[in-house]
Amino acid sequence: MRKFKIKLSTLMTFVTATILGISLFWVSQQVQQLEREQRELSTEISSEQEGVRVLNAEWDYLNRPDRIEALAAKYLEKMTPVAPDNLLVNAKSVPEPQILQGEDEAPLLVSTDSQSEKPKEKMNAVPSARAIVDADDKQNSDFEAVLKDTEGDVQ
Amino acid sequence: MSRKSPFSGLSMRIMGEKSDSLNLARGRLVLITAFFMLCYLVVGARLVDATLIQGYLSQQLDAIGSAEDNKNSSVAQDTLKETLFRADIVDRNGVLLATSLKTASLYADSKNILSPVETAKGLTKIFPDLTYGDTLKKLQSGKRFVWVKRNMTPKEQADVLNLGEPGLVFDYDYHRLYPQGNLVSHMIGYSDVDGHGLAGIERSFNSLIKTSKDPLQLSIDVRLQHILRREVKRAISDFTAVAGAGVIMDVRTGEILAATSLPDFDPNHVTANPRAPELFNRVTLGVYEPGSVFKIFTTAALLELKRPSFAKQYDAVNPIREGRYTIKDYHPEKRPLTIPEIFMVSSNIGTAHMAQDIGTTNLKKFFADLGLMKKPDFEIDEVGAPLIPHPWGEINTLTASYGHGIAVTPLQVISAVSSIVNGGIRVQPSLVMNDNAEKEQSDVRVVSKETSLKMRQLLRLVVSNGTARKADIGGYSVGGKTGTAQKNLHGRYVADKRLAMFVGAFPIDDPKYAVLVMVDEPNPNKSSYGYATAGWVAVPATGRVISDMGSILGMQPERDGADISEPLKQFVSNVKGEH
Repeated sequence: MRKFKIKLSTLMTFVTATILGISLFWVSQQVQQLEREQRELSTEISSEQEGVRVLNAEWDYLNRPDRIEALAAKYLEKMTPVAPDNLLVNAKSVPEPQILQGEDEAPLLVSTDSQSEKPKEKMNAVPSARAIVDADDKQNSDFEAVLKDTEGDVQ
Repeated sequence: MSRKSPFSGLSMRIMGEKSDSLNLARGRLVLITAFFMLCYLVVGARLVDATLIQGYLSQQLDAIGSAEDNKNSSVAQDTLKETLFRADIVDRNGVLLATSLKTASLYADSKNILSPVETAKGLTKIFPDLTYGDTLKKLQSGKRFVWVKRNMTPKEQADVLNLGEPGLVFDYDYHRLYPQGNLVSHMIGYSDVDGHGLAGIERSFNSLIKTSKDPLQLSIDVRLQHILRREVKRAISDFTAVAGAGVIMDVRTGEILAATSLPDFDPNHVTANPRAPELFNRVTLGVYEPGSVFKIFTTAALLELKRPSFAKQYDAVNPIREGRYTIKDYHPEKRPLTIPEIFMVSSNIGTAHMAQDIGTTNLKKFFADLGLMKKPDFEIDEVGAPLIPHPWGEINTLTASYGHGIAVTPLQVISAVSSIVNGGIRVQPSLVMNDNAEKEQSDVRVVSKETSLKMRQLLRLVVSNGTARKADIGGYSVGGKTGTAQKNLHGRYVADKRLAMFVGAFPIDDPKYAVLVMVDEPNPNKSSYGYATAGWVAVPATGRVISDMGSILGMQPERDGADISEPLKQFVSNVKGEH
């Protein structure tokens, strides 16, 4: 008694059809998924690009030469624009800092002797006429106020 | 159905020959059933996945970005609004001069407003320029679409979102923004809310800006532009003048590094009146009688065409009478003057005699070669045509030689001066950065190298010994020529209304940049000892511009270089000129 006799070729056809069907379904799902991801990404990118454009505009707005000039005048009081006379033609003519061997530790010693104070003057490479203004000292709430003044002007 | 269905008696067993084919059929049937069941199972599983699992996830995503739906539905609108996008305009270093930003505009769907009173309160807090009454009226109007506020900043938008009112809806479109404000107003121009360029580069390059995505790069440098504008502005306020203009040009390429016309305007908020004085571009559109600055061109013509020795003298004793006109000197020397002396003390009589030597036809041709006789080609539309006397008689030759009776734009003056000092090659003024500028440079020679050198010597003499000594700054050797013209109002020259102009070039040994400063109707002040001439008004401003721009451009200062005007000193005897 022969019950089921299936030709091998028929079986193969069915198996192939099933596999093909499943894989087709799977691929199309994958494609849809990727397309969705791609759409999301491109939306994200374009919104990031818009963000970059806004930040660029703000950056150039905050770096307007007149504003920089005003801020420099306010916070860098001793640093005026460079006059042509202050430009050195030769880099070698810049005075080198005079650090003497062994003496650089001397100022660290706590001493009441006035003699030991002297090497300190030699150490100082910055001309004594120009005070060093610490930028961090000046960065108080005033700076925020300047920023606030200019905020909201961009419209 | 007469026949019995073959499946009605499945329990029946058929033996014999037919059983084989029946079994085969049954086997196929089972297989097919199994296959379809499998298919339905897959579909069912996928349904569960799509509706329950993924549906839940996407719901959560929606909760995060609730605006997403709105956006998708208005895709068609978005594409329509893309047309409002205009490409950026940047300076030579890439600093934004004009940009388009997607900004939110707020409208109200008043049917969806939950609490009009509180929303109106909140909105007036965020936007101080809205009034409470108006806003409340809008929110209670019952309309589905009422504009509340156009083009807000991202911060304001966030504040509005924080109100949490579902009836407030945003609409996005591009808004033109000029981050530099007044700084480069006339050259960039401005555009209207519909995205049409109305002036300057915005207008002349309108179609390119609308279609291109890449930024349009101008030859302007905002740092130099700021210095120039600051100094012209300072000269205007120091001498209570009505207006002013300034240009910095690269003498070799003709690129304009800075060009300012004061008073100016903020392109972000342009007044409605197109005839307002702020909107007038004095650099390219305004034509002025430049006065003695024109002596540069007359002298160059003489040196080029007649090749006289510097020692040649012209009579400057007797005023020239021609018809009903008399040509006089501002500070008469009352003696014959050599060519360097005439140029240095700016003698009108001497220059008029030179023009007689050159001849009307030659002089006109020379002026035309320098581009002074017709409207120049330039990248913006607001360009003025020069006023040329017509017909051009003998007297016009004499007056034009020292810059009267002929009116040109400051742009033409600085281009012509650049052409003379750069070695004699004619330059074309340009505002748009061109990468191939080197290749496209014209090679039209207007004066010989020798004449160019002689002119530079003369220009240097004016600064080292003549009327422009205030531009003699340490570090860079400047050469230039002053011009103080009396203004012609309704056909009559007015004594106390002047136009002070100075054109300088530096470093004069081998010039790189030319600077022009013009001040309209300056009044004397105390510090100028009652003078309001170019030497007091425009020259110091130019000196400050040059001294500041040198360090920005990283130009090496020269301190020990020989003064090229030194050889001319032998032709100059004591003069008292102060012009």
